[in-house]
Amino acid sequence: MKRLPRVGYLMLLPFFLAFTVFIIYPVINTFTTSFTNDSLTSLNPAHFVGIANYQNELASSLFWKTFFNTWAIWLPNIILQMALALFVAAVMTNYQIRLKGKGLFRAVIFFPNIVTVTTIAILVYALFDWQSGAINQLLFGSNTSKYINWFSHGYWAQLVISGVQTWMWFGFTAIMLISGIQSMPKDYFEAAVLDGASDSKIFFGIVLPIIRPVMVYIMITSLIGGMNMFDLPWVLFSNTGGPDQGAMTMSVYMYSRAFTWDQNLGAGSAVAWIVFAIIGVFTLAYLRVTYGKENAEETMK
Amino acid sequence: MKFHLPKRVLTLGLVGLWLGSALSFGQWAQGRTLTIMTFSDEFKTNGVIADFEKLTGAHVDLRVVPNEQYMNKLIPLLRTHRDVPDIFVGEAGYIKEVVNLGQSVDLGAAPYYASTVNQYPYAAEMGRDRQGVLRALTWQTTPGGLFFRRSIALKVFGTDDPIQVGKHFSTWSKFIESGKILARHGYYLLPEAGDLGSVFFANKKEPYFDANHNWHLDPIIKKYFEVAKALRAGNMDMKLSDWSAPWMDQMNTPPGKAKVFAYLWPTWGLFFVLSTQKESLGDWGICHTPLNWYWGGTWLNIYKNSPNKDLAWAFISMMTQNEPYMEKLALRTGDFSSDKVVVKTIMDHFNNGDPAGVLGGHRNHNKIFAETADKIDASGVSSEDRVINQVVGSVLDDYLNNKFPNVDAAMKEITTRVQQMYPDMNY
Amino acid sequence: MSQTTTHATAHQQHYALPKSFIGKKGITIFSYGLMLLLGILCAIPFYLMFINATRSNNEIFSGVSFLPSNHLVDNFMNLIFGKVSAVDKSVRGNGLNIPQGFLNSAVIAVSATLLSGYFSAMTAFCFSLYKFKLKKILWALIMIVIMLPPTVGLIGYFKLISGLNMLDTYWPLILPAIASPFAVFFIRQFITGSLPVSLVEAARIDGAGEFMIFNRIVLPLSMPGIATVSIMGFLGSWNNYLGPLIVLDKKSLFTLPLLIQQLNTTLYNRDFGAMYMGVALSVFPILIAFSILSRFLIEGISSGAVKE
Repeated sequence: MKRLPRVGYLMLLPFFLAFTVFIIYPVINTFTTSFTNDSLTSLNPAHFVGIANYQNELASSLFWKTFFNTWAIWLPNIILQMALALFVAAVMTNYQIRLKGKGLFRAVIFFPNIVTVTTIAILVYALFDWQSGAINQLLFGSNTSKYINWFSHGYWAQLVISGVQTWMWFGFTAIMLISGIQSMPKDYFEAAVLDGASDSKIFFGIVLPIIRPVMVYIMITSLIGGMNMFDLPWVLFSNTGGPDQGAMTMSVYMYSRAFTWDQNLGAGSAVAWIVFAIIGVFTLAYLRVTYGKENAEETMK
Repeated sequence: MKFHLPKRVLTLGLVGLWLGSALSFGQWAQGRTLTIMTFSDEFKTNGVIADFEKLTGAHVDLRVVPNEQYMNKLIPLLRTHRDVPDIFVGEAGYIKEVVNLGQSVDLGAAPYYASTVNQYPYAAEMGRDRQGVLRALTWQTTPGGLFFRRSIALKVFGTDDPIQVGKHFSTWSKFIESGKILARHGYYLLPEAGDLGSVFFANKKEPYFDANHNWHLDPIIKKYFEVAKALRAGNMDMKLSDWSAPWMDQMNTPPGKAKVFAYLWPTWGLFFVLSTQKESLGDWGICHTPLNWYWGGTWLNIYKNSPNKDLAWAFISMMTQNEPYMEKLALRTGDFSSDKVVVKTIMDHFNNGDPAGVLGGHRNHNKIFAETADKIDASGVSSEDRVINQVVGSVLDDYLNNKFPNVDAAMKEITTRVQQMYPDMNY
Repeated sequence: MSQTTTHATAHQQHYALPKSFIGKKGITIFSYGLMLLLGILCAIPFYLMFINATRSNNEIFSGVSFLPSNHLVDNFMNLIFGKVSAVDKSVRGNGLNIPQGFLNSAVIAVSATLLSGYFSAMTAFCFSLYKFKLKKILWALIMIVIMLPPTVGLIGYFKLISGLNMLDTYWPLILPAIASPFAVFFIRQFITGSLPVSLVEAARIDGAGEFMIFNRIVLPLSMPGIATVSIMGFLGSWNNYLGPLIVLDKKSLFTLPLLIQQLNTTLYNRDFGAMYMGVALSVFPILIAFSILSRFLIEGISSGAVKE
């Protein structure tokens, strides 16, 4: 490989300049801010407070509530999403089934994924309105006494948000899995079928191992996205967290801490780094469970 | 409040002088720009900007920021002192936060000597900071009342005369009793029990946090929860979430089909909301609620480092000091003025109700508003009202959905949630 | 992360599950039914949205309808220009200028995508064809940043933008696109996998400078990869909510997601007809673009998946 000539360094400059200014610096700045009492309500300069923000946040019951809320929304979503996506992928890649309009179907299930989340949130708000929203009208018709007040209990709100996440993402995930399955050589199957392997054996013995990298990728990106979920609960409930504060995710909490309430940038920054640490821990734990001890670090590279 | 009369007289004189010079020199600020950051199109739609531009020749640059994000946008500007508008505003929910920042000029001092002699006391009080320095002024007040359906009142109470109907709602126990009667006839007293919030929030006697950062949960909040719960338990509210489309829609049902007896509205609700409900025009009456209250309002501040303080003051004094102009404005827009003299002067214009015909010529609503405005006490307003009132509302929702065994548990939950949001205060 | 195959989609017909898989009749019918249901579930909210955008508030309350009504124009006027003023019937106030939001979003997303495409390709070019000091460390840094959750630098970003006096401008939403780690990663994979190195060497022998080689040869040849990653970048920028929420305050500068969010908070827009009109207007152009580009987009994302 050739050495990079001088002009090449100039070509790398724009990227690394923007990279340092807009990505690295903000991350470091958030980190340093987390050790100060910097606040948006005060016009005075911030001063150093040590690890007080971290102590306060880790001792805050509300923070832990948002932690469990976030999981209560993400976990059912990823399970259902993965199940639906696997199902769709299995049917779509089966060439015995001559499905008409496969392309259209793919487009239809993918479409919710590219619509802006705020748009989806407004749509959810209108469709799930408990007295005049289409969901109750479709479920119960004119039997208004049965209408469910979707936003009266924390668990309903979590369920709705979780379901909407699944609805938005299972198509995307299915498409990823389909391309994973299609990437494997056909002879694998032919050999297996000749050996008289059963469907379930083929699925668990051949298909799953082959799409495992794709699944791991989906799980990890979904975990990062899920732990950072903000747009949907924020547009629906703003900083109140909705019924029982059940829709207050960690990111909504972080944003509220920093930009509403007492507008404490220091505490908000500490929350951001705690969330980051949580994501790191769960990602590593997940990789370790999936690949075993030795390979986990290898995969990270 | 202390008033130094000679100074006030001097102020009026100065205003007069300014007006005189403005008139004689014509468009003295030709070519200059006044920047105003606010949260609605109001100054455009009510013609104030057009008037000001005609009067001074200056150009007004109106920056509209959504109300719920206003503080998040204003404070960063004030921190860096860059790109700060000449005039910034505060809505009732956060005006105390704005004036306590200490970034707006003292309007009571030289060279402004703003007069608050004729203002309703609470309107002036809201513009003062912790030390009592006058930093913001308003041109309107926003007292509230109970807007009820005359068609339902006639059927249930046998009268649609506002004074007679008002007698059924003069205390909270009568309020609840009347709610029961309405429920027996198949009507709901209110669209949502939580709507009473604006009534009770305006009657806090002490701020949430005092000067020593001690937390106070005013007993009026407990009363709020009890009344709301009684309404919910007696099936007296329709459980429509406030400001939702169905909530708005009930307001627009024609007489005969309406299920909700009353809505709680301040002055602006009459002109901006009820008057656009075509199906129900003329079916409304207005009476007092058991407490005097207000909801909303906008206060104007001049940024202390603004290079255009003279221009900004010209705008603010036109809207808040110049009584002839304020009369014109109140008549044109239906705003309820913050100036008692103005309200009195134009009172008779409304003897046949509002111009849009919401009240069907039934009563002079401004008399009710004037009675209420006089008695409002804003001493309990604090910087944290915007955030904490929201918390209270959200706990109330949970309380009405039976999440707490009793009202005291709900009160405790409020304190817990506030503590999580303001951990550095004393509880 | 290894490269399994380059063009999975080209071999669709050959790589598929075997005949016997889900072969039994009962299961097949069940599968079709469930697939149909999923398709309907994905489409119906959007269908109801378009229908309700033509219905009045009252009609929406009275129940679900699958047929349009005739309040399209009313809803549009109420949404864009606001409700008629009580004082002066000729004045409307507090409307939401959705077309303006479209324009704003487009300005930001297009600029960001162009910057990201060009500079990412340039960076990827250096990384894939040359060796230089600190290359390994810098690459590792880029890889780590790809996995960085978006909120971890949010507060620092806000303080930076505020310090640079860039609040209420589009710069902080456009300029960071110059550094798009994922795009660099993706294009590097593409260059390594499908760019003939001989072409570059031939150009070098002809005396072309590196910058020239990049612009004349590598950039055009990497276009398929750049286009794929650009679509993802464009969608990311177009759908970005948190960034503009923190940066922009003037309503006239608002991007589409910020304006749409206003439907839920603006005092005078609590009208379901207008609300549905707002979301319908925001979805419609996406739907048109998607129906033309969906194949390309889905294949792009699929090929991305295989490369991971």
